[in-house]
Amino acid sequence: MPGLNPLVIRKRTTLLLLGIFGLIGILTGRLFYIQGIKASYYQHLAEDQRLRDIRVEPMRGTIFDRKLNTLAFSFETEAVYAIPHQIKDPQGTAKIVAEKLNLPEKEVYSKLTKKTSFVWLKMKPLPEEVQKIKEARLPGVEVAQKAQRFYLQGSLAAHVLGISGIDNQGLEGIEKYYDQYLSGIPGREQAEYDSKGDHIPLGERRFIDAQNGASLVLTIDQVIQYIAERELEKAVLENGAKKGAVILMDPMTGEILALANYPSFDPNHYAQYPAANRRNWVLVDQFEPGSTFKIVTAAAALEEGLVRRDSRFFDPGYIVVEDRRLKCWRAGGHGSQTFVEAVENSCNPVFAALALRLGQQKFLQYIHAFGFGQQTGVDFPGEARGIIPPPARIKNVELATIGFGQGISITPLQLLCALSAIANGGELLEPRLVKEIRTPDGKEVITKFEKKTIRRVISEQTARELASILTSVVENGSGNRARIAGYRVAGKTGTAQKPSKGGYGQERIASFIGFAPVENPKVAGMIILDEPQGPVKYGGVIAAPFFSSIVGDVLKYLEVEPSREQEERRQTNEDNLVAVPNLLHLPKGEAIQILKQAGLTYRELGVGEYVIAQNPKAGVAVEPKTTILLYCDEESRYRREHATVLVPNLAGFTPQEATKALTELGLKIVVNGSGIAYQQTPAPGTRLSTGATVTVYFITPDTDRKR
Amino acid sequence: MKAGKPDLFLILVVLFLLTLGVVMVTSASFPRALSATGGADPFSFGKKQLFFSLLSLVLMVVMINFDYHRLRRFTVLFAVLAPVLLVLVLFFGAEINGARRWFDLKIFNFQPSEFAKLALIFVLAHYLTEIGSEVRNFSTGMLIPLVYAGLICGLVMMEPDLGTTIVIFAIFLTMLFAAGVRIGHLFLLSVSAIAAGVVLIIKEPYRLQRFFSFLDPTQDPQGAGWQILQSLMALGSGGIIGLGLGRSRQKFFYLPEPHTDYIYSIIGEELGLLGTILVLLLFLCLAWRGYKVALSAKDHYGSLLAVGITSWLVVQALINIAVVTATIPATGITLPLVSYGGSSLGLTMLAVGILLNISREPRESQ
Repeated sequence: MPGLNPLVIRKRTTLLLLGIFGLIGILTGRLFYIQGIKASYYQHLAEDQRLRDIRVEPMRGTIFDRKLNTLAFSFETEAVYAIPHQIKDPQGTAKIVAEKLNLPEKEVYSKLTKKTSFVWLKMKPLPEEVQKIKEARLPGVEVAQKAQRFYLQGSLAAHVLGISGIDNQGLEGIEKYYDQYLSGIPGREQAEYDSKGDHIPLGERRFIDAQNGASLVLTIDQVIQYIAERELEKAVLENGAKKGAVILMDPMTGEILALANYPSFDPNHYAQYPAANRRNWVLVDQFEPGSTFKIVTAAAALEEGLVRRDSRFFDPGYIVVEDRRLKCWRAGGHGSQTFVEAVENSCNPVFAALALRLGQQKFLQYIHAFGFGQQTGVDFPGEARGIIPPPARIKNVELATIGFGQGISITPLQLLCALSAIANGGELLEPRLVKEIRTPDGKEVITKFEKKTIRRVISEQTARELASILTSVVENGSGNRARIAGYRVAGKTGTAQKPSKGGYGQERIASFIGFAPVENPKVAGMIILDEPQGPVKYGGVIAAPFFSSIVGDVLKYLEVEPSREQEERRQTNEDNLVAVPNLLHLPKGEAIQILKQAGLTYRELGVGEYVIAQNPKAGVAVEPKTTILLYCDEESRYRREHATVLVPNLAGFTPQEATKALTELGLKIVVNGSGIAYQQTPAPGTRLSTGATVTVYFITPDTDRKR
Repeated sequence: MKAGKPDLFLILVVLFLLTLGVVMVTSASFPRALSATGGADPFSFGKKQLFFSLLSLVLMVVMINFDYHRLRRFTVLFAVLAPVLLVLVLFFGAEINGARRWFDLKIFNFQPSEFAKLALIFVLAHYLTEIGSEVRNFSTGMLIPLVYAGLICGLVMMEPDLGTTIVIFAIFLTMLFAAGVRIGHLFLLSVSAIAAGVVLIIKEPYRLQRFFSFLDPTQDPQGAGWQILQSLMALGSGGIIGLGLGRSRQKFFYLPEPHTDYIYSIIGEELGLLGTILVLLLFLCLAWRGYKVALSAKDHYGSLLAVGITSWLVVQALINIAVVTATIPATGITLPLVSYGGSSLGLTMLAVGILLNISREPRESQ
């Protein structure tokens, strides 16, 4: 059998080689195309898929009080979040997460099963909780750096500051109004990632730095704010009022020094409070002012020369307007009186008569000039305008009632601005809550808000005259409880009936407005108590004393020189001062006995048999017959060493302060970190037996503000 | 008769490819090794590749000095063993991604289809030499070898492994062509093979998808076109001079098999067009020297063995490169001598050893 043909093998093998050459030629061309011509196209595709932009959150700006004390700041801390679709066993995971983070299991489960790509599980976990969750290595449960807002002073000035959400957005208050300044500009981090979403080792990283938010300096002074809140709380509790508010303003500049509402809330845990507590009603709600509005009627009548301080009036107890008989608050009337006395007496018929003398057009002109019916322009969201009835609906009866403050709606802030105009010589100023916008570190001023005059409302002379009449109200008239030792005070009381179904009901709004010292006003203030429940509901009786204690303390704090003539009276008073005894943990009867011996009066709050707190505190010097509030509680019937105590809110304390506060209560402390307390366990308000331990976490604000 | 010297140039080409393989496998597998060993040993794949390269070098040296004629008497054994192993692997092979291609022998994986390639080369070389001028006869020269090759191809397709099937069929075709089978017969065979290929592609939907994704990989970048698009991105990113050794980004889990099927893409990304052309040139040299060995072999048996082995290595390399450059539809196939893989490297080097052994006996002058 003949073999293979060697020539054919040679020829064909050579052909094979040539064929391979050809194929290699084609592939070479292909490579030149891909790696040469199309190189940049594929390069971009590859970059697009591995370079990812991550938003770098800016740090929200700090909010300072006018003395540059920090009220709100942001810092980075760890927070726990979940990626629901990565969790294969939500039930099991929820159980573990709930245990490690001390959260309700149901709540965690519902979060883990949400149809969302991302959900926060716990925003402010304790360091141990973070550690535990990291160790558990649960798929889909992660820990991230998250900027958090911390309100250093807890509820202090809560209504002014407002609240901000977890994603650096201002939701209420100054946080909302100045959000565009506070929030800053996000930066970007560009980095190379592999297809699993991890960083490529030694890959490129590009940063575009975030611009942190500007900081704000408020017109609020934290000490004045504290004084206002302390006294307001007392005023509301003592009178069983539904709510109350205090505003203090520098009448010469329009700067608001304090703005307090009670009940209040802690913006760090705002969700735990009823939403109504967050309402800053002194400027977002309107009310019928009653007698305090008489300052406007008086100002208009004096400016128009319709009345002088010694003009005579006769009040039979009513005034007839058209077919209506408008009654004075005092049955039987005030009889014959001068204009000054009519203001001191807050006599309704006199102010009705003045309103009628002014006439609808003139009176409305003044009401508008004083800023009613318009927003004051305060830098706060949601300000109300108040309601002035349209001219067509203001007939003589309506005109007369507006003269003494009925049939018109205003905000407390509008009224305080009008009063400030009287205090400062006749100029209506725009009220302000923010003094300056500063650089994020708070060191340099970017924008300074100067005093802004809206218009002159009355002449200086009229203003001085009215101020003197209002001084007389405090020194001789219905406002005498507002007197402050050492200073001359001008003011006006108010007791408005609350409108209810077609008329006026039993509920009242008691208020007092005033300013001091009269010669050179430093503070104009207003206190309002809504629906007081005591036997007496007059503003002059229940609101004026708190105005006195607030403004008195503020003037001392501001180191305002007392008026000389008043100084002597003060001296004599001081000799009689009594030190408040320590009544804590005593049986109620024993405490009352001690107070009586010391020449003090008392008022009981709560239902227990033992005193668990008192106000003022032991050691404070008070005038004789001052009312001491005793808070009593059933729970402390045990002896002191077995007593349970409420854990105080330690936010903002230094470790030394926190240690002192807890030791005084008989609790032990575990200090974690250094600087300022921002977190504690158990939470404030928890009841603990004495001897129990509270763990407090501290943070140093400055170092944590860097990325 | 005293044996001559082996083809030194061919040895250099093979050593070059082998070294490049160890370096590139180390680089390409780095991220995978890191995550597989929990960060402990980023070079675990590289080390294994180095070890198997050295081991396979020993195999090559042994075969260089082992007269290939002495293997001819095992032809029948090879002919029987290949299909038997292919059947066994269908039942006892390790299942990976729905395919059974390997025996897991703990120390290394053994792939019967790799052995089948070599067995087919031996069987065809022996058979075609035996029948001599009968190759021009349709039934003897065409049908009988086709029945055997068809059996092997069918079994490999059952694993399934389309890439290897194509390589085996290419070896079969080139050997028949070199032996002198009529062009008409081969044409007929090619037409039916293409028809069979079409049937196979249509039968399995994933192959159809792959087929179209190669035409335009950007159409479906997350699905079937993913691998191909990632490969093109790697090659394109490399440009002319490459990102530099070790600097590939695509190996970070974008390319699914950076150290095996897609090693050539990583070469392109790290070493650029210079690197990819170099590899092509190395395989061109391998083809040139390999077929030269066939031309200068002492007898027809040696010539056909050399043609088979050379065709195997070169055709497989070209298919691999054509796949990663999206020149033909994607099919899983490794780059010989370069891709990661212990047992296949061993068998490849064994074959290279045989090729070099053939080169040692220059043909007696005619």
